[in-house]
Amino acid sequence: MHSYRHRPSLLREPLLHFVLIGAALFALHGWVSDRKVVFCKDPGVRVAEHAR
Amino acid sequence: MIAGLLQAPPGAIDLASNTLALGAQYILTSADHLLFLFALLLLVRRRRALAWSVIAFTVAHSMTLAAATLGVVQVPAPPVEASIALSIAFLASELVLEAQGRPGLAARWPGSVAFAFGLLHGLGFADALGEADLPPHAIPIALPCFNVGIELGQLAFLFAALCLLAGLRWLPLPRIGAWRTASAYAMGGVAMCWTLQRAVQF
Repeated sequence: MHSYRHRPSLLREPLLHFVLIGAALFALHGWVSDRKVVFCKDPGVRVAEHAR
Repeated sequence: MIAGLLQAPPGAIDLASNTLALGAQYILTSADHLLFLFALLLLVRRRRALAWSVIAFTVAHSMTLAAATLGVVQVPAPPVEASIALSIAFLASELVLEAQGRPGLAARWPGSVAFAFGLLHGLGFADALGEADLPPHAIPIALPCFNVGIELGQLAFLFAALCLLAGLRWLPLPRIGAWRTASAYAMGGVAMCWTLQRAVQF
C-alpha cells in the first residue's frame, strides 16, 4: 500500500508554494506601488488614482 | 547614512570604531541576513550542531568579505542579492520538508549548507562595505573592524532570538509544529518575493 507521505508530487514541494506566494506578493507590491493615494484637505475625503 | 558615519576619520581609532559600528548596524538592519540566521536557528535544534553551523557561516562570510573587499573576487551585486534571498527560501523549504518527515540537505548537513550560503552572504557584506567608498589605505583597518561589527551584531541577534524561542516554550501554544511550518511559509514567501524584486534589477 502506498502512503500519501511518500508519494512524489511536484504540488507538495514547498519551494513551488513559495514561488507562488512570492509571485503574488511581488504582483501585489507592484500594484500598490503603482497607485497614488492623495489625501485632500477635507477630513475623511480620500482620492485614489493611478500614478501613471 | 554610511557616508555620514564615515565622514570624519581623522585617526585610526575613529575609523576602527566607525567601521565596527557600521558592521553591527548593517547586519542588524538587514532583514535578509537576519531571516537566514533565524531560519538556521529553527532548523538546527541541537545546540552543538547550531554552534558549528554558526561558526561555519561566520568563517565562510569572513572569507568572501575579505576576498571581495580586496578585489580577489568580483561579483556584480544584483545576482548576489537575489541569491541571498533564494538562500532564505531554501532554508524555509527545508523547514517544511523536515516538518513533513522528509529531512533535506540542510537538516542532514547543516554546517556544510551554512558554510556554502555563508560564502554568498559574505559577498553581500562586501557590497555594503564597498558603498562606504573607503580609500585603499583605510582597508587594512576597516575590513577587520567591519567584520567584527558584523559578528557582534550577529551574536546579539542570535542571543535575542534564542531568548525569544526559549520564552515561547513557556507559553501554552498548541501545535508548535504548525507554528514552525507557518513561520517557514512566511519566510519562504517573503524571500521569494525579494528574489523576484532583485532579479528584475539584473
